[in-house]
Amino acid sequence: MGSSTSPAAPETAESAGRAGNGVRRLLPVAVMLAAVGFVAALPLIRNHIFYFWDDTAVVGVPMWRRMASEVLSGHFPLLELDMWRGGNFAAEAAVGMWNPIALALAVLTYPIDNMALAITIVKAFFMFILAGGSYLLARDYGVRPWLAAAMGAALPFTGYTFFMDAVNWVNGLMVTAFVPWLWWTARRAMRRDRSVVWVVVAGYLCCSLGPYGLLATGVIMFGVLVEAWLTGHARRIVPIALSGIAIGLLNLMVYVPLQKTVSVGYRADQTTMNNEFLSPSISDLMGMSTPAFQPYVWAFGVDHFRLPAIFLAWFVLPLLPWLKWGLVRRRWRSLLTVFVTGVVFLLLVLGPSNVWLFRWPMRLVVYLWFPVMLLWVVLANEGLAHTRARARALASAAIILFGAYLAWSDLPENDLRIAAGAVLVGVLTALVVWRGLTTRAGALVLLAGVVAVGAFHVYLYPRNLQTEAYNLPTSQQLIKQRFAKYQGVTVQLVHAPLLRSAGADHPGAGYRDFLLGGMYSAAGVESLTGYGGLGYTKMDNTLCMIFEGSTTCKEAWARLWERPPGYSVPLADLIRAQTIVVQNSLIDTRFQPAPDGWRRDTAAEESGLATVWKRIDPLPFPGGRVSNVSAGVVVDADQMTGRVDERINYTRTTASGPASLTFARLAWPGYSATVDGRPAPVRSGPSGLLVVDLPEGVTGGELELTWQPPSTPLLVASFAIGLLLTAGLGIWPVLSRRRRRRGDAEPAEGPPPPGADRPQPEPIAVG
Amino acid sequence: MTTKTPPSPTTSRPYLSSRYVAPVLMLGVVAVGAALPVLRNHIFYMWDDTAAVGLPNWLRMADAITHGRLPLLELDMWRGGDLAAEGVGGMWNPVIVLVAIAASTFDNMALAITLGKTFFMMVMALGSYLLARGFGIRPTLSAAYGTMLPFAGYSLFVDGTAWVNALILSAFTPWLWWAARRVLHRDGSVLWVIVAAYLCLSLGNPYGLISTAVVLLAVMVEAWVVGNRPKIVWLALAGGAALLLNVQVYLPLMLSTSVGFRADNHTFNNEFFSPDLNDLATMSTPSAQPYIISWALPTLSVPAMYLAWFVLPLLPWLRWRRLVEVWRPLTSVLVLGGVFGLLMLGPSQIWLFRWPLRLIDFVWLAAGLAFMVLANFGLHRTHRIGRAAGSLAIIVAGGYLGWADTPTFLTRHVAAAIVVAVLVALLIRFDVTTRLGYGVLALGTLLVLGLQVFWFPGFYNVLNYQFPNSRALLEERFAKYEGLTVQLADLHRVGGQDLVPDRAYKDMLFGNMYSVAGVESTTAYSGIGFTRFDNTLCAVYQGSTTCPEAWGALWRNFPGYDVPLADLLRARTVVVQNKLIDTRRSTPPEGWRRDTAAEESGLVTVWKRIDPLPFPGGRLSHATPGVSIVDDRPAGDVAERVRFHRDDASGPAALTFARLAWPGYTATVDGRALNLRTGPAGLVVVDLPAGVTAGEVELTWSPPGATVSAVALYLGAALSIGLVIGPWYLRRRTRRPDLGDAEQARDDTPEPVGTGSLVEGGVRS
Repeated sequence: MGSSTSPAAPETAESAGRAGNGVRRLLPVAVMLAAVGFVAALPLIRNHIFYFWDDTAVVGVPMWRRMASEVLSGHFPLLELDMWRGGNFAAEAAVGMWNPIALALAVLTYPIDNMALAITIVKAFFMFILAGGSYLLARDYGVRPWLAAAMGAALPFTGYTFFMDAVNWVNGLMVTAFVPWLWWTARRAMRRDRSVVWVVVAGYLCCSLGPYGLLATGVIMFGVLVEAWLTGHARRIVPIALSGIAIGLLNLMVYVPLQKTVSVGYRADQTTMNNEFLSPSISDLMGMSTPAFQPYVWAFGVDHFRLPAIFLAWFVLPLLPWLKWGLVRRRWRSLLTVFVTGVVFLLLVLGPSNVWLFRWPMRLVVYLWFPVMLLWVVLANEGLAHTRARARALASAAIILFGAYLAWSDLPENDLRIAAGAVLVGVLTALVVWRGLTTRAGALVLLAGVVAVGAFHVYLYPRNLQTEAYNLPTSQQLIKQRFAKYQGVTVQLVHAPLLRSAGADHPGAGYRDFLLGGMYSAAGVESLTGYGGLGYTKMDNTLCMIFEGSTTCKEAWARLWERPPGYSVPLADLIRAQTIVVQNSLIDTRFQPAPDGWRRDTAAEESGLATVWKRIDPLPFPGGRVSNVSAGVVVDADQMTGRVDERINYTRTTASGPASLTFARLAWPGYSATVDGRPAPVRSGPSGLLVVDLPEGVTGGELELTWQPPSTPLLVASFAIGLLLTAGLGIWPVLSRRRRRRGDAEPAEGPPPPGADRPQPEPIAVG
Repeated sequence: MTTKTPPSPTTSRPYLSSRYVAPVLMLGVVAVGAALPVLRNHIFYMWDDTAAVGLPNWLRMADAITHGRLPLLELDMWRGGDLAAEGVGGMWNPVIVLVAIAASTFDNMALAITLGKTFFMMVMALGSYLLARGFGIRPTLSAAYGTMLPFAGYSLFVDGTAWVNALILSAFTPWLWWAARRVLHRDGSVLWVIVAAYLCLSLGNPYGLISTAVVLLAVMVEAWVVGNRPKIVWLALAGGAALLLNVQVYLPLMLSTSVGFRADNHTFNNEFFSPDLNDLATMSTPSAQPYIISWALPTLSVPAMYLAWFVLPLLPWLRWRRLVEVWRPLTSVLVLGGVFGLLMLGPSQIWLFRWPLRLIDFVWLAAGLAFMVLANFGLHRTHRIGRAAGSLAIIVAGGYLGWADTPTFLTRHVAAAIVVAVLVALLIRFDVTTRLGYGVLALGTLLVLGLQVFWFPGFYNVLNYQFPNSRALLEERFAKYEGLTVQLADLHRVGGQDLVPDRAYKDMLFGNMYSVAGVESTTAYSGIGFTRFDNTLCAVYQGSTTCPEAWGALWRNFPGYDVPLADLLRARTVVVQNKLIDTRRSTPPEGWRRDTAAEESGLVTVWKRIDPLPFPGGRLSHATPGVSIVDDRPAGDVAERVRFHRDDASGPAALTFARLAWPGYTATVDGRALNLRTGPAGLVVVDLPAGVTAGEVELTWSPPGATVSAVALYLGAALSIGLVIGPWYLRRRTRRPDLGDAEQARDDTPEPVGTGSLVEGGVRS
């Protein structure tokens, strides 16, 4: 892990223009990474599945495992038919398969059978990436190494990153980890004429993980462009803007399928509205340096946070009175990116809870922390002011007490932990004031404080009570063995809250017969139960399925046995179900007669909580996914021609009148069918199943069913143009330099025009 | 109090009338502004608690006092009748009593309360004016300050509509502050402190205790800081005297809460009515509806966090550095603002005090003053572009935060931002210290207010009863109900279209409106409630009955009684809402008949008792068999005498009265104290002593703690007199001719802060 950042370290050290041997230069980085690793590991002492939690457990891990297994077997996962509502990887946008680093990590950790351990390693890795990028960014602003290390160590443990993103949302953590790299590359491209190819790389890494990466990238690029414009680097505006365009072109394939697919799922209506969900206020932001400050913001389950979700770092606010603010006046131009991104992210964080696609503004607080923290370290780099020490000390005390008061007024019952946190911060602040920030000792106090507060937080909040633990089994081998008992398409009717209220949501009980979210895919069982970031509304409505794949109504059982209008077989047959697992506390089918053609498999019922039904006769068309044909149509052959595509040979007795084939597939946008080369209409049939209407006048033929992400040609073209543009951006400076060098009489002059107004060591570094 | 002319040390204009121009203009602006909301919504001020309890209690108070009695316990108002304990009646406050008497001369209640509330807005404006003048702020800006407070969003749209007592408290508080600072800086008499503190405290509003304490504390800290420490003692004594004078206001409340629903007092937070810094940041955004949890709707339906359009946008133009020179006499502003600011940002309940947004009136009192002190120095004239950009950014940010709370009202937020930007530009052009500047302030305030009342016609988070406005109409309409009327009806089951004078209110009333209609009824509004009675009839605070079981409870015989509860209550009319309990096809209870003639709205069924009640002279409703009642007659407003005799004086026997057993009752038989207890549904039961075959039971009531209250009242009066006479006497004894002149001179010295305004940024011509 350390190796990923070490190549960059000499470079920054050189840019800061300091002498010293390599080991001493690496020491701050090493200490920072050690601190990050230490705090990141702390929660595992009491909670082994700290990082295997909520969405990570039910969707992140299953998708990562699938991603890795597909890539290892030479495929690229775009549509995973066996994962049903959770299987449209191309449209989910936030899977991470387009991100080479995520993909590499998925492959590298795949051999680890303990899925919790594998994802913990991944998350720790991204915390290191976050710390390393932040370190480089701060160094690029001329901040001395130890202070930069304090910033790098603090950012992975801000409340939202540590307790929300790192626990639940690995994508959020990844985006946050790549943001400082993007900023760093963009700033270097602007101020130091470095290649914008690195901007494209970092931007691509950031944007290929979901819409929030796109947003963060856009805002930071905007900030850098404003700074370029106002600080005499206008020459760099065009290349940087072009790199932004390249990032956009390269990422169209991540977002267009989402946009084209969203209409079939539960995210169809995107409106701008406000219900204050995950919407922090300025009051909450005032708690950014108060340990154990649990903001009163509507969150999952309750009307307040059970976590210190808006904590940034203990040292930011209390030391404000000691900073030398005059620097801002002198150097404000070189801090323009900080201000622009700060204002934009602040406004977004304080904005309505839903703006178009973006909801829950508190998520964006992690991006706001970069400009806040950067401004702080840049100011702190000047050392502390020691005039009027009494007034400053009073102000510090007032700030600490005010934060504690706000925390207390949100949750008065937390008085003890708030007081303890305030005392801790008070002592640490006094130590820093005593030692100053220009000494290594002072910066070490910052780092020690980060570790201490991190440990304090881990002690207070060993598990995320805001979101669900799930407590799923961690061994992939185990679930594969355990669920080998389910054959074919498995329909599971289970309501997770019922499992929880019965205390059965752990491997020894409920998870002997049930799995939640996308975990069936890791167990190698084809199942309709899956975690859908988009969902598929028609099927979801039929089975009352919600995001995680829980079934919320008793009617789902009966609907499986109803014949949709125009069909002579029940829905269970249309989806080619072979196993049906029913949670007894949701729908008690134990004493019901077996449905026609089905039997109860009591041997498979191990937990006593489930009733397992199995189909007796084999399904027709075993080679493919056709589940029903109109009367008069005979399917002669049905076979898969790829992982997704399928070929059917059929004949009809009469070629007039409507006839259709129904498939055990969800009709995701992107399907097309041809009969002997002529297009045949595809549509979404009962419960969203794919139906192909057979053309009139054709008595038989070969039906080819194919799927590819919507707008694939456009996406391929845009990716290609993006690559070309990037290549051009990489080659152009080399060419133009060579040409200029050829034309120039004095090549030894060094970097041309901009060098004049560009101070060589950063202006701030001078301080 | 209001006749006291303001000291005007800084007015250097030669002509005498100028000192009155600004305040008179200010009162005119307040009057016009107060009338604006009524144009669209005639019952803007006749809203929620004001309609259900505020005004009805004023009318009752006025009626009682003009008839020469204090309305301490109003038996005919049942659960809402313990006015001594309700706390917020206002009968101890002479100003309110006078206003109530004036209001009682109107038939139109909405008009009466509009005028009454406008009066208190003027009191607030004038007190604020004097307060600001006491800080040396020039008359025009003092007048702007006086206009700003009554039209701050919370004051107008929340206090002004629903909670008249809070409005009155914030009207008297600036007077107290002014009087206290006068004692400190101008050797003013503590008499005015005692008077103002008395007016604040005698509202019975517990928040009056807090505001009085904090104001006095703040001025005491100021005394400490400016080095006039002896005044601390004087102020503390004055506060103590005022408190002693008000023991009778608070003691009955404290001793009576045990019977009602206000029993909990712990500290917790659920963010109910709790603003945060975000909300404060919209104080200059007229269109912002803060997202604060309250009743009924997700956001507040009114701009409750609005203070004034000019406060935040002008911040970049103020001469902040001047504060360094003059901060000492401003200490009370900092203390008051700090304490109330912190409390307002605090948990939603601390001990007895809940809903911290209520404290915003006092936060604005301090914040507005701080602003005016700075504005009084005049605006900066340097770095215009930078400052203008700052103003614009502040206006846009406020609009953004407003939009973030209610994104659906985008045009409204944009319009408000544009209006404010134009007004601020004009204000900067003319400067706040000029007369034209004052014109912009005054007209701008009215313009913004006009927009606000157009956008926010009413405070829809709380109840809009829409009662009939005419008292005569009510009396005439409800004359059809005889005797005690028990109404079983739930306001929330009256459909929206029925909640109008000519539908539901033909047969039903809520809150204390039955007392206005002259009908004795168990339906009444109570801030404390009487739990045992409320539980029996599922009565909630505004008098609604919320459960269908109440009907059954009325006809059930309580253990040990051979008559139903209806008889114990001495009910003669029972009005039942059909949507709550459909009794239209029920067989009439024994001895009762249905009176279809009285059912006019079609929403209720009216039942009437056929035979007259026994013991017609008093309120006795039941006597144990074997006890014969010779005579039952009232003895005063509340007391009652019952003569009885028993043949067999052994064994238990009891008298039950159609009265709620509020704390404070005593009973004697021929001078001997009797055991008195709370019987079925909370009724008064007197146990007759064994061995007494005949006698006269005297049942009396006085507010609990009456002796303590009386002692406190005398002590308070004595202390007050001492505080007023003492200094005068001491001065007379020690006065020497030369010193007298010196004191005279000192009285005319400008206030410490006032000097600041004369140096720079004075009135521009």
